[in-house]
Amino acid sequence: MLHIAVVGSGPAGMYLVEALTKASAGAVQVDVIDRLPTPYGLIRSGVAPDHASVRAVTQRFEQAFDKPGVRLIGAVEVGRDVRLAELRQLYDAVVLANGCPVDKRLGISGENLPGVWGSAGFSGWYNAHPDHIGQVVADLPDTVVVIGNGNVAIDAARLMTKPEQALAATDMAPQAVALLGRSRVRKVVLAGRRGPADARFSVKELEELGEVANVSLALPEAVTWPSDAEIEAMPPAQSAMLQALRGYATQPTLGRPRDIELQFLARPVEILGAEHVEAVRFERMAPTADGVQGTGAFFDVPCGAVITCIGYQARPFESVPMDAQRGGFLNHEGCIEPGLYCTGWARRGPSGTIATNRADANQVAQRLLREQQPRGTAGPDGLDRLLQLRDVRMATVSHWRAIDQAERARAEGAAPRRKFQTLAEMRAVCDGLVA
Amino acid sequence: MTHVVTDACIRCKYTDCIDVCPVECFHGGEVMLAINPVTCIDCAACVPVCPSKAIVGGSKPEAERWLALNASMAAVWPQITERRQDFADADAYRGLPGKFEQLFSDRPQAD
Repeated sequence: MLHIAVVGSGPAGMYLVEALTKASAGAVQVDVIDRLPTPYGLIRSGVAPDHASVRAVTQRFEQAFDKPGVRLIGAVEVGRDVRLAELRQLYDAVVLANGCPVDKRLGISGENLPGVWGSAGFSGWYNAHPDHIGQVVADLPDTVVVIGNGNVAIDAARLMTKPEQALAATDMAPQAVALLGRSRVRKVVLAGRRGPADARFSVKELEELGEVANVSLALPEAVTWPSDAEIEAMPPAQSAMLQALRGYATQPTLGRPRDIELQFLARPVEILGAEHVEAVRFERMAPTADGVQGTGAFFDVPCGAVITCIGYQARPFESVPMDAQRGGFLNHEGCIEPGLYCTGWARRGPSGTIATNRADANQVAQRLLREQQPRGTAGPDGLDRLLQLRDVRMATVSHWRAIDQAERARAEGAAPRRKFQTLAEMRAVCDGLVA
Repeated sequence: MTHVVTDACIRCKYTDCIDVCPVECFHGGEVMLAINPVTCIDCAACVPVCPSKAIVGGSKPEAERWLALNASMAAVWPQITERRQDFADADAYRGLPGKFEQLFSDRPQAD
């Protein structure tokens, strides 16, 4: 039996488990270790609460835990409860699938002012992630600037402009429903450094914006849209996105209580304010042959909060060398060093959609199975003994299912579940479970 | 809810959608694909990548005539999880009208 430890139970780790069990016809024992008792990573804490149907991908991942030889080891943090070096001795191979949970920094003055939030913290907050529940505690202001031109930025803007009733029907943390749904927000400015053709929005997300807010688009006068012929010639996703954006430019939506303004060619250079965010200073950018460049013209957007949605990077982990350029760990085709692999964002940096992890995982699984042989390691039994000696109580898949059931049972109104927000509450559910 | 494959797929069958589907909900017919409405999670990742723009959200008006077809064909066609190029002349059929009446086949794709 090959003993494998996977660190992280998000889509990356779970597709890897699927690939390993399928390719090895069951000759593997896989322990999936997560520091939370609730698995599935960003499916639970990143996907927007009003995109509930996407969470259903976990039904497929649940099946993996019912396979013999696959275990969920929840509430165990590698680095704190067990060292990576110890895991590498206990198992024949270890795979890091612990993602990129840290917000990239803007690197500008004023970034540390109260009222500036990274999207990992903001989405973790409204998704009731135990690490982020204290992120936003005061009422939101009337103008919020969101920096970034991807779907994460759209999620933030949409959830700040949706009415309370709509939010209350989701699994969003109740205090976030109250703060967002009842907030003073009247306008969200979504700002990107480059032009519309370089935005990374998807059409569905853009269309959803128009359904909840008055969406308009601000483009500097000198900048022209690509021609119809140029748009046609682009890859389908980009072409459809540009058409949707142009639709908002020529026909802004109207009649909603809140406004979303899409700004392009605006690079944030400073966040202004004394005790709190008061404005963002932008430099106007101009398109060049192969990118954008500053024009030396600046303008300020007064606001009371800033959310940065500019990408993520891996958290420093057990001295594993990091890839500063791509954002994950340094690796060659998923291998960090013999016996230590990575998959998902930990490998590729924060790119792609949920399904991108499947091809990645298949590749890493094939490679691992080709390169690794059973070495007579202690494996799962060894981990159990070590954790017992350290008095670390792991949460099993049965504990997770009890938490899951309890969250669904205590849901209020039309919401599908009401998440527990603290590890202590989750522990209480686990302790109440009769073995 | 679900997404549906429309007649725009017929005789193109680019299969770009296969790579981006997190739940492998596509089923392969001889000349087009179908989405299994039970497994589709409405993530919409497939919609932007289709060169024929053949996939639409199930609640859109243009989806209505395709809902039943996707459901019934997904039940009999095999699941398709890998990209393939069945038609070298796919580009010639992109955007053509009347493909359903003239070219639809309910046969499953060949192995």
